[in-house]
Amino acid sequence: MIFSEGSTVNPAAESEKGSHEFSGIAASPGIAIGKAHIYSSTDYWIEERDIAPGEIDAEKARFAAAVEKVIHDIKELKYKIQTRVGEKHAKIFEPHIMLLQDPELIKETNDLIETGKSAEFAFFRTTRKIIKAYKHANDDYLRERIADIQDILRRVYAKLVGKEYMHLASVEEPVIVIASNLTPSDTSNMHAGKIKAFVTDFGGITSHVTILARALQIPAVVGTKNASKTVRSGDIVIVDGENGMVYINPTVNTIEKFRKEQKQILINRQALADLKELPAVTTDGVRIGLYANIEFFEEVSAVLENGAEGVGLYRSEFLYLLSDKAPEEDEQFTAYFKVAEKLAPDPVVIRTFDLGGDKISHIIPTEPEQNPYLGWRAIRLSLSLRELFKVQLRAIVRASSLRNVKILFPMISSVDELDEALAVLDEAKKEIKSEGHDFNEDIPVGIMIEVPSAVMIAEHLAKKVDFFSIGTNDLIQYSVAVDRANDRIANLFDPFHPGIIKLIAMTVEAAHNAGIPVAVCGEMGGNPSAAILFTGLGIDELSMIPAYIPPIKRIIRLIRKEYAREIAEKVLKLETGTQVRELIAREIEKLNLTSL
Amino acid sequence: MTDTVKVINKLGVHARPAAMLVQRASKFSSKIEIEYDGTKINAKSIMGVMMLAAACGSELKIIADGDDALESIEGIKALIASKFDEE
Repeated sequence: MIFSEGSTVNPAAESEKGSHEFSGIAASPGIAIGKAHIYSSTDYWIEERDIAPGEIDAEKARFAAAVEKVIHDIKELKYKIQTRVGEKHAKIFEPHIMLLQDPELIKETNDLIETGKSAEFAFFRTTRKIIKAYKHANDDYLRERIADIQDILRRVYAKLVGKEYMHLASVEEPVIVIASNLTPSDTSNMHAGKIKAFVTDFGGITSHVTILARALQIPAVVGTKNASKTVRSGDIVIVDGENGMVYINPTVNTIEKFRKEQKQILINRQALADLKELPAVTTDGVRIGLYANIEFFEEVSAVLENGAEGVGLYRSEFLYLLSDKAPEEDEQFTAYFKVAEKLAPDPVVIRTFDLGGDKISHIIPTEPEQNPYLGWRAIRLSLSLRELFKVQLRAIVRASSLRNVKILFPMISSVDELDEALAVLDEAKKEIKSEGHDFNEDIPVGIMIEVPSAVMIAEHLAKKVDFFSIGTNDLIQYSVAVDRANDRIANLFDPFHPGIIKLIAMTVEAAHNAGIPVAVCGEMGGNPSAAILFTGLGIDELSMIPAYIPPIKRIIRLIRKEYAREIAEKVLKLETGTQVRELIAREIEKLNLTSL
Repeated sequence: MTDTVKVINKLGVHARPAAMLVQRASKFSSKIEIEYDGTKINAKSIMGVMMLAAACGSELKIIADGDDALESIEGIKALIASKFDEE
């Protein structure tokens, strides 16, 4: 999956008229082919209409009734989202309700009605005035509220003219929605039946619409920068949510290719769904644990649907990135407990906040750094903000009352660092104990192996912890000295670099000598070619995006551990990444696994 | 009845504090207005309060008129003094 942001419009090599493509962020997987429906929530114009003086009171009453109904609708929608994807997302609708109850907004509209204007037009004029003011505001939050105001304008208008709200649910035929941006209210009204996919100019992997799209299982590509301005309604569009690509008016050949791929995805999904209850065991009986990487509670259902054995990596950063103040212990406890409770007795590995680098939270007093990836981030940041760190550890320790919670420290590079982190954890445990809370005294603690120095001292680190988890993205970044975000050297970021494979092999050896298991929880964990290699290297567990679990499970169930070990041994003797990839590709072909 | 109060939370009266301020103001029956930087707005209007965009250090003038004018001013001052529970 490609997460890199792009803004390219490439005239397709095939010279069909109007044929081109956009790249963006792969926000929600799947492939969709269909007609484009340009959806604009910005250009909304209501004609001026005068009313007779005798109609004024009735018009005001009509307006009041419409507002009342919309408040009711939004409260209902809020409840729906709350039960479907959780309270946090439901809160998105609070500004809508407050705006609809705003005395100034109501008063100004009524004043205009009194001058003899229709309720529709009066409300349009009033909201237009606010939008104009907010557009010039020097505040991102206010500018974001424009979409909310437009949303309530559309809703109130629809009620006034007695129509259903013109939201995306009213689209008649199945389409691919292309928009500059979508409000959460837009997305929550999408039904997989009619909206085949969506593409937006803005948005990132963690924006609300993206999360909702994944929850609703609608393929999506976001961050295309200007697709909505180039594509026309009725254009034929292919959305490749797996790779973050959008093809406009593609050639017959391209459509054919994606139809096949789409069909294959469906066949695979069905075949894979049948594997859900089966374990990932090689044909000679070696079991590999398959776990999910998640960030939000909403993803727990995907964990269960895809047959994961638990959560191998629960990223806790979102708590710090999404709220406007440091998350309190209770709030954190609730977040962790909810996930752990839903999955119990399956394990949930909570990684302490991995902030810094590219994940800047305004809660943390950061200053721009020359080399943020080599700077104040992850465990380093936690250890220098000890109070903040302890609040999190206390919350995790409390959640361990469920006995399936584990702790994972990110980016450990030395024994001193680990000792210090363990000392803070100890303090947290003592406090929780003295307060009389129930918790797991022996809560398992692991560390991320993602810095080469940690690999070199793995034998010492292994004595102090219960498990290792290899973060391949960072391990590659730090070993090959490639900034992941730098496009100019992206080709050097090679997961199959023989040096990386050796580091992984060394980590496994050190861990197993100490009698502890090793997991891989980076992006490589979900890579089918790597799965064979990891099995051969002796990795005990793999953790990945939930949707990747079934195909990985299928591979593991098709191979022999002994055979995978032979491949790994051969790979460890190779000189280049290309040789490694070629060797694995040949083996995959032999096994007839190419359709994966 | 009027009084002035200084915004002391780091982020100023951004969205969340604005919502809190409106909720607090709406509990009182008095007419409450806030004047800042030459603009006077209704303290019970989320649109109005957000548009003030009062940053940290801003001096806000609170004007209340009604039976519970004193309590309403005290209530709003206390909220601003609490830094909207931010720090």
